Amino acid sequence: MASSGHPLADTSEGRASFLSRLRRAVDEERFFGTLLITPMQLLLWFLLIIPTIIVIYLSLVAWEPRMGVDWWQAPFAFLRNYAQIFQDGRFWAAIGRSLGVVVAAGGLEFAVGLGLALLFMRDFPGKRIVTSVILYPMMLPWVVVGLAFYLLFLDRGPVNFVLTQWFGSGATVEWFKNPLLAMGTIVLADIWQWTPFLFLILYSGLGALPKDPVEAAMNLGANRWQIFRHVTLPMLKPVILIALVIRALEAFKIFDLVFVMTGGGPGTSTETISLYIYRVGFVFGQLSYAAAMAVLILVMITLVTRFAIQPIEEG
Amino acid sequence: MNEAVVRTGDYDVFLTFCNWIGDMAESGLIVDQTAWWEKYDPEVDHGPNRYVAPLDRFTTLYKGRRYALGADDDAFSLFYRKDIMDNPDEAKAFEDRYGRPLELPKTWKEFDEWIAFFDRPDEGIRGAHMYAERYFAYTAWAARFISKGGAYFDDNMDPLIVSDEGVTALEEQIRLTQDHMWPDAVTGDWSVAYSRFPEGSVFFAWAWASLGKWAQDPETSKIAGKVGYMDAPGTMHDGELVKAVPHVVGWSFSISRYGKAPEAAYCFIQWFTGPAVGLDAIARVGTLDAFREPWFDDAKMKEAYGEEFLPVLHSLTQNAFPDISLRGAAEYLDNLNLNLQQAFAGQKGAERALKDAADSWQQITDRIGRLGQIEAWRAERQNYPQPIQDLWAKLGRFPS
Amino acid sequence: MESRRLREFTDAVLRWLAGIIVCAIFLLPLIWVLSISFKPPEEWIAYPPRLIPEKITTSNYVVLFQPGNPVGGVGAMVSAAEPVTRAFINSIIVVPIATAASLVIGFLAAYATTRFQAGGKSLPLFVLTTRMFPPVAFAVPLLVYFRALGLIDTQLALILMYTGFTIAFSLWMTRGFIEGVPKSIEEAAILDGASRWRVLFTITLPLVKGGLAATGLFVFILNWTEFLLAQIFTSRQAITIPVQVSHYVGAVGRFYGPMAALGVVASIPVVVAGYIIQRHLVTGFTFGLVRE
Repeated sequence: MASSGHPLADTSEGRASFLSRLRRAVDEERFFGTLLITPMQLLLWFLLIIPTIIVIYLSLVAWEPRMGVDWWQAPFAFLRNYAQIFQDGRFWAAIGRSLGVVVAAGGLEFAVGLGLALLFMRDFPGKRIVTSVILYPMMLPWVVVGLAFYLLFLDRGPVNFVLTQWFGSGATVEWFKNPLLAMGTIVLADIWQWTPFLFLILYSGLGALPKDPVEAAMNLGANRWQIFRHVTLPMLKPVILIALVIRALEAFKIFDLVFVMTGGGPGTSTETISLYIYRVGFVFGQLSYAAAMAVLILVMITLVTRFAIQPIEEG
Repeated sequence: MNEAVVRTGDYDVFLTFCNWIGDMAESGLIVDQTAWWEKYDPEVDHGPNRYVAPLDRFTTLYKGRRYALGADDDAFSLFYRKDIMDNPDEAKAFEDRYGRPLELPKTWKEFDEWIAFFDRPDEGIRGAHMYAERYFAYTAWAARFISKGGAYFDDNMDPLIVSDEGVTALEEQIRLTQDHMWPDAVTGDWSVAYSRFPEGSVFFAWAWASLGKWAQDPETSKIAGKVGYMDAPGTMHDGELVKAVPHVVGWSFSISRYGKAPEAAYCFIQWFTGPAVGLDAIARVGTLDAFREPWFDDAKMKEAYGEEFLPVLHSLTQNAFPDISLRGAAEYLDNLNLNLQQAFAGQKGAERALKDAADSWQQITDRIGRLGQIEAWRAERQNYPQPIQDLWAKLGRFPS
Repeated sequence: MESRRLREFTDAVLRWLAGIIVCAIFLLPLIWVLSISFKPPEEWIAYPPRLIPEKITTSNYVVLFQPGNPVGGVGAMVSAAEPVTRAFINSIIVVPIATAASLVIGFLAAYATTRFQAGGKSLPLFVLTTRMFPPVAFAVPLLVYFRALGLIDTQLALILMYTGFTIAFSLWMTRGFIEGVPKSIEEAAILDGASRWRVLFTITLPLVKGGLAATGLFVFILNWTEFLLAQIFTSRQAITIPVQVSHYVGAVGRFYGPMAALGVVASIPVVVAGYIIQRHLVTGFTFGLVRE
């Protein structure tokens, strides 16, 4: 026993030494805490702050590699790049599509994930294997998932083949021709790949819930729906919120699936914002303009997420 | 593109699409080879080993200077099902229907009828596969458009695509696409052609020369031995048939300014594309295609391509016109394509699509700098095949 | 009583049936990938499509390791792609290191932010912003910046980016578990004279092991399947498996067979790892937001 007696031992000497020890402890805590976050801080500076400064700078100059000068030699454009964004219908349409993916994919993934999680709350034979199967899609490279769905929904692919077998030869659907259907097919692939993630979060959340309130409600004669609606769901709320926020953030960035499945086509009907920035920056070589779009998106997302996360922080 | 940003100097030689030369030259990424050409003579535009014209020009030149050595021939080649075409019953039925004998089509009008005739959806075989998808939709439209006497730009870089030639060409191609092709010509990716034609589900296909070799390989194709080759259809102008064959991408070698030994690198690519080595590489490997005149008479090449294909490819190449090769080429083509794909998918009318493409082209031109683009375009249009330039002159397309 | 047992029985059967249906839906695309990986080129997108290949072939798998091996006539075309070995080695070096680094740094930071509010209350939120931005938005500045540091096409560049861009998950997921460890246990140990490091590693760490395993697997999956950054930042030396997948494109189109085969092969290590730590996986995703 290194420390002797109660910390608040009622002697003046004890009090003084306690206070100094407390101060030391606080200093030590602060020092220790700072030490522990330093690696992360350094990494963030390296990967986030410095690139952010560069991207802001790039967005304010007029630079394209084909100009033949280095980026720091490029002439200033000030806000011209930003002005151009506001006239760029393709940009806003792409933002809209990405948001559409967030809403559609996020919502459906949540619904399916929650359903599965509730289903899996009780044991049934083969549950371990089924769980493994459900988690598998997450583990495939996205490019392969995109290819799988592209091939499945090809005009003369398996899905249309099955449709013709069931409903006759006229029953093919041109999945990638109609903008809405093409977007839907991409969302479907996303749902297939990311429902497991929401399932995992909700399932572990449900598993960690205390059992007493449910039992109490049952004893009071509540039915399953009432228990779910008024007991389980409120307790699960923080988990649901973070799951949705994380999924929404990831879905907004959707790139690989679109790139592989439609390339954004027909025309720009399925072009998402990541794909558009990629095109502008890395295919067209308008790096300054791409940088301006990046900065604008950073600002918009930061604002939106502030509001979305506040309840989590408070809750 | 990344290398233009970072300039690592890791590369001595670039093998890129030949229509990127403009961007690469303007960014200072690649070296002007003109002096070396004079010193070492790569035998491109003269002598018995010369390139098939006009490949000697548009795979090498930018604003009149030599920036690259062409290493490929990507003139789009036309393939059809010889076995079906040669069937006497078909010949009779065709004559009954159109009142003329069944022959390979010479004009676009004949071509459209020919495709329509052989379109048999009930038998699982459609008339054609021509690109209408996200990346190469412009090919078939441009072939019609240029052969009608159209040009992408006038001498002030104002787009000429929203014209009679442009709109008619697009309307014809939309009709063909929607009526006589599988829908995945529009929605599939570019490799769909390489499945549909060899599996025997289309009568006609227009793609790179590699499709011919692929379709004749009994290991990968159900129609090996049944492939016919033909020259491109054209448009009659005062009794003269003008053909225009898109040369789509096509590889060429250029030299990095940041490499360690640019001149040695140049010597290497000259050796690699040279009359003997290049021949060997192309005949054996199969990813690049023949581009030097004598190779079209070579025994090894004949074996690689087949006796019948090689002369057809030669003839197609002579009428090949380049992709847009100005600075911002990728952007011009992307904006054209996405509008054409929408038109093929039925989301936009022909005129609307071309108008939208033209508007975006104007913006690109203004952004990049109109004066420089004008200079580049005036040089570029002289890389087109001579018959097309003659036609433009006849139509007074450009002031002389 | 009898009726209750019956109800439980039907309940179990229904769950079981639902499990099978869910399984089938989730398996369909996988089976299609698997089927293509055993098909010769002419069957990849042939019509009518067949689930069981007409001619079963393993050459799509062989071609991954010996690109010269002819897949029908494709052989010559695929020779442009390198053997998959380099991509595998890169992935096997880059992803575990990045995952471990992300986990360690994230765990330490999580401990500091939950226990001492180090870095201020909004630091975790700030870290989450790294996850918000489309990576392509960062690719432009990172490209010019990594160039200055000579990091283009190196494993180190990928390790740094993969660590940095997954740290938000490492931080947020482990935070919850650390909060779940009662502070009193740690304080007792400190009163016993243990150093803070000792407390961290001998008391807290073992208690959150399961959570770390789940976090680790998730971060591993994200890094293992990442495509865009690897595509932009590597060209020859440091390519990873997802980039290699995109290299199976030749003069005659995309080689779906080798692509599918590589997808199957690439997923095996993750699946095995996932199965082993499944128990932790299903408890590891609460973000500590629900506590008993």
